[in-house]
Amino acid sequence: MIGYVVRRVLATIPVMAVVALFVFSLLFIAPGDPAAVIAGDQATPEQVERIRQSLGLDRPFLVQFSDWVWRLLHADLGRSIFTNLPVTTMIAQRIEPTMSLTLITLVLSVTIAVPIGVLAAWKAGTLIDRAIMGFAVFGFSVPVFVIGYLLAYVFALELEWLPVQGYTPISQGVLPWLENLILPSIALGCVYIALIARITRAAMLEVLQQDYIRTARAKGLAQTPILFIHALKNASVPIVTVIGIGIALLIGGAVVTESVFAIPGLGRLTVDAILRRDYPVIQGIVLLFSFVYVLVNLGVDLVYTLIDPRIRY
Amino acid sequence: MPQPAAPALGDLWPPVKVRRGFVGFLRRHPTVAIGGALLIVMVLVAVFAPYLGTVDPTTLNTSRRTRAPSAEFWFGTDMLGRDIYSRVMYGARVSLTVGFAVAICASLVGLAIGLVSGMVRFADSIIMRIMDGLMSIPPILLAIALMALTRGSVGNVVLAITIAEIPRVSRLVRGVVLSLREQPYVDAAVAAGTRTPMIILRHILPNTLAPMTVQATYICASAMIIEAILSFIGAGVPPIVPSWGNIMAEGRALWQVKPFIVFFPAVFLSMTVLAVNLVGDGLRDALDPRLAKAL
Repeated sequence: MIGYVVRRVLATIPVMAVVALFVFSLLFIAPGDPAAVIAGDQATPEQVERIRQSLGLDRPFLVQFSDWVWRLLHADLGRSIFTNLPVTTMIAQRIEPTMSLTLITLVLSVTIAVPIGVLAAWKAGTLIDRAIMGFAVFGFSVPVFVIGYLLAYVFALELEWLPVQGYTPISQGVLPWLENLILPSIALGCVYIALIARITRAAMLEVLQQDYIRTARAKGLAQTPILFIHALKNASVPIVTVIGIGIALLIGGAVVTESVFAIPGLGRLTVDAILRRDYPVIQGIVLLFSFVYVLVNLGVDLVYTLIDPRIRY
Repeated sequence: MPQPAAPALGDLWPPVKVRRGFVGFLRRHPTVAIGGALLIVMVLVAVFAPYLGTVDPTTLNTSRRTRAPSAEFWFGTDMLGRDIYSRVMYGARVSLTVGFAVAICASLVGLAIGLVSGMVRFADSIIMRIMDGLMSIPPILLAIALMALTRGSVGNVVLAITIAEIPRVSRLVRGVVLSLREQPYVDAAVAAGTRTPMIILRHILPNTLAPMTVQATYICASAMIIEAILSFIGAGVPPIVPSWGNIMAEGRALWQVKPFIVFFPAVFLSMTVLAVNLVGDGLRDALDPRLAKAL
């Protein structure tokens, strides 16, 4: 068990190394002079030179990379070209709304998706099942910003139940904080719910055909314990896996959702950084999100051993 | 569709007339028929955009800005007085081009990488570590990072999304190849002295096509969404190009008062992605019954 955990943790190191190397070399893979790429089309030669100096782009690639990794290991992501603030500071200022949004979406999605997936599997082939799976196809097809605008139009503009956009920090009260996050979370969660519900249904269908389910039925067990204790527990490995993998959808979707609902989080920071061609900021955000994603999936792998004692690598 | 646990005998006996051929296929897989029909409509819209009563989608006319939909401007006009109907019709070109181009490019490159990885032992661990790394970067962010470094153009958007999608395809192909090369008929081919390139061409490649086709439709759908997202946040095709994401980006500032600017491209985008997903789901059911049961 401990051996597995140690090995699994160590296995994330090469993955993170590849991510870091890739994110760093992007600047050099892109055609043209990196400094000129960052400076943009309208830059004067002096501006390009200044960027080259400030980022140390005139040094050899390997020197730059090792220096960059060294600073990375000291939690230094460099400085923004536009504001000249450390990227870590800028990220720290914007992380609360994004974390709130993704965590609420995660909780909301899992609490909705798993039960409806179980329901669809239980009622497989019926109208309920078709309706849920039909919803899943729509969830996959309607982009997050479309759902976002639709929800905001109906529930904020027309019905005026919830605020149209904006964000209130949790320090100013839990209720206003939640109020602002309900619509964005539903919008962001749709595709995630669709994904989890689909996998839940598939995994449950597989398990419901097993002999021990028939035994449980034969001994007169009620439907609910059969579904949620016997079946769901045994179907949980693929479900937990997809919850982990789906985090990528949440992270990508958060960038857009924050634009639609004017939430001042990391997504807005990304969009601003793109418009200003502030590459160190983009680099930092991509690295941070990838790091979180790797950690989440590491967590998922470790959870496997808890939910399924047969898994021992 | 899951089968009932014990079908009544009566259901088994009547001779079922299975219609063969293309029509029969569409009848047995209505999702392919519906999605395919929708998709064909969209392709026709894209191809014949200039003949659908449209005007030049880039013509500015500041005297008629943000008009509501009317007989003259079916979908209204945007902030610069451009006809949204024309822009939406032309926008189909961008979305479909990006969707199909990414699906084809990512499939071909992913197929090549997956084949090498599945067939060449020593390359496998290196390639897969790289793919693991790339897969840990959420695709939209990877595309954003790539677009931040290049000029916004349709070609660069295709390239950026393709790079973001390749790892998933190569993983899929590798998995299929690894299981195929353990098949008895591959052993038989090896025993018969068939050369490796021939084994790949005759025995491995054809069997990767079914899962690849299904995967390609999903990539197409995801590419169209990512393109719209990139354009929407200003990292995609240049604003002058009428893409659905761009039209929505232009409508963003005004959406509370002029929701129609966002509405029409949103509907077309969603319908197109839905069409592609329906085709994908149908093909998955048709081509891979085992997978169909699993999902």
